[in-house]
Amino acid sequence: MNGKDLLAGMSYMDEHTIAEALSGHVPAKGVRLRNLRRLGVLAACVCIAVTGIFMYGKGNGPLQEKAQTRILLSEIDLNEFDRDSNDRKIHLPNNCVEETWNRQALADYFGRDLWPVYIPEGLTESPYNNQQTIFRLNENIYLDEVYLDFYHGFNNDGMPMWTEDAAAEKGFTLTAWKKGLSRDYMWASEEDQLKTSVIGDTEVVFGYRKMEYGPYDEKSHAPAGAYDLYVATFMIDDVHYEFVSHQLPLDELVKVVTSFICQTEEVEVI
Amino acid sequence: MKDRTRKMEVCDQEIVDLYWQRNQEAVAATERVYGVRLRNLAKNILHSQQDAEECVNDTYLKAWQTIPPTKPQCLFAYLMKICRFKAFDRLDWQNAQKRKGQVIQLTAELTECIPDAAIEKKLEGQEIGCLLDTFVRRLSEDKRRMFLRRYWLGQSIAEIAREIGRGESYVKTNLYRIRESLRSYLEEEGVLI
Repeated sequence: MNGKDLLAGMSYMDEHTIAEALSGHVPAKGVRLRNLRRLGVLAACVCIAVTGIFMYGKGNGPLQEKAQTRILLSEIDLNEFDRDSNDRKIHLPNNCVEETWNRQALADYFGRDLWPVYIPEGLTESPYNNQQTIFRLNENIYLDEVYLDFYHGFNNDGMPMWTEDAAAEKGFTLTAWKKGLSRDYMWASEEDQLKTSVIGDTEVVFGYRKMEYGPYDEKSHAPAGAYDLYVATFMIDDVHYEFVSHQLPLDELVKVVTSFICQTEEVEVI
Repeated sequence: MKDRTRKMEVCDQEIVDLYWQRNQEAVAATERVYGVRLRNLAKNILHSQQDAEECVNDTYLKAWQTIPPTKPQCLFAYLMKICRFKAFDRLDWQNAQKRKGQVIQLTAELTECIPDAAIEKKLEGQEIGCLLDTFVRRLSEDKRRMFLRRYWLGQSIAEIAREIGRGESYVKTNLYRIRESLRSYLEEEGVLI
């Protein structure tokens, strides 16, 4: 038996197994993304206009005794986006060596603690946050994408639980990497003129999309509902960061991001 | 949007009924609902648009010839299975090697899973199918989905990552672990074969 036999022999697998895994009970996230792609609602560009973010509290203004970062949410202008990305296929050589890093090792490598200072109430961190997998090739770091999950609950395998009222998770994921990978949600090409805003000294791109969740009606294929998904991406010291929030209001994501960039819990979003 | 609306109008049972009625609209309805996914599957394996088109047409013909008497419980899986068989029947391995087709990468990955002791064993496709059925049922739902998307559908890591809403590293890591589990599983089962 060889790899070809195994690959070709998979065709003999039971139809029920295939149906269950690939068509029937598809998780909300998977269905949502696929449906969005199928819909082909390709926005002309990812036009994320975030303007008028005002930063206070860094100077010595007489109005504030306590340093506080204030964000005017009303000035944040979001546009819908949806676009197929150009796949960046990262080959993982067979002789890559897997390594597990904890919070301290991550901080040493990325140059800062990756845990946001502010975590919205009701969210907890994944038990796997402190066990991130890194791949080395010939002693050098080869793949360094790590992701921290903060959700309202987790299943035994570490995947976020769905909420009772919607078949989708609630919370956010922070992804950080130095080596270029894919833009999962910000499906924008290099030609797109992204509008950015500045939080602290960092340019941030905010994005938004409506995400459908299941179960889908058997006949009409209509989703059970939809929720707001927000994205924030930026770079600090050559490290890429991407926050993706599910079922969280925009102001909560802005607060999390600001607390991460400015490394303060004293954030007010108004 | 019109296309999507039309898709919504027809469900699996209605399509199967059309086949049973020998109504040629059955094939058109199948194409509308599943054409894209069948084509993607065939293309992932064959790495050629033209071959994929022919493979999908063969799938429709086979479906027309076999329904009735077959009454598939899940038309999607039934069609995909036919399509996958047809695609592998058409696959020219040498040509795929030259063109660096996705199927070569998938084969290389699965080769890692074959225990040394099993290399000499000759298994029939159905035996392999049964082994893999048992194996994937042991996996968690998410891992099962990732494994089958990768090796049954032939999707790229990036596609899987997008569809499950995770990073590529997450998918790679999980697939790597699943392959290790598969190797251990085949080692265990190797004694019984």
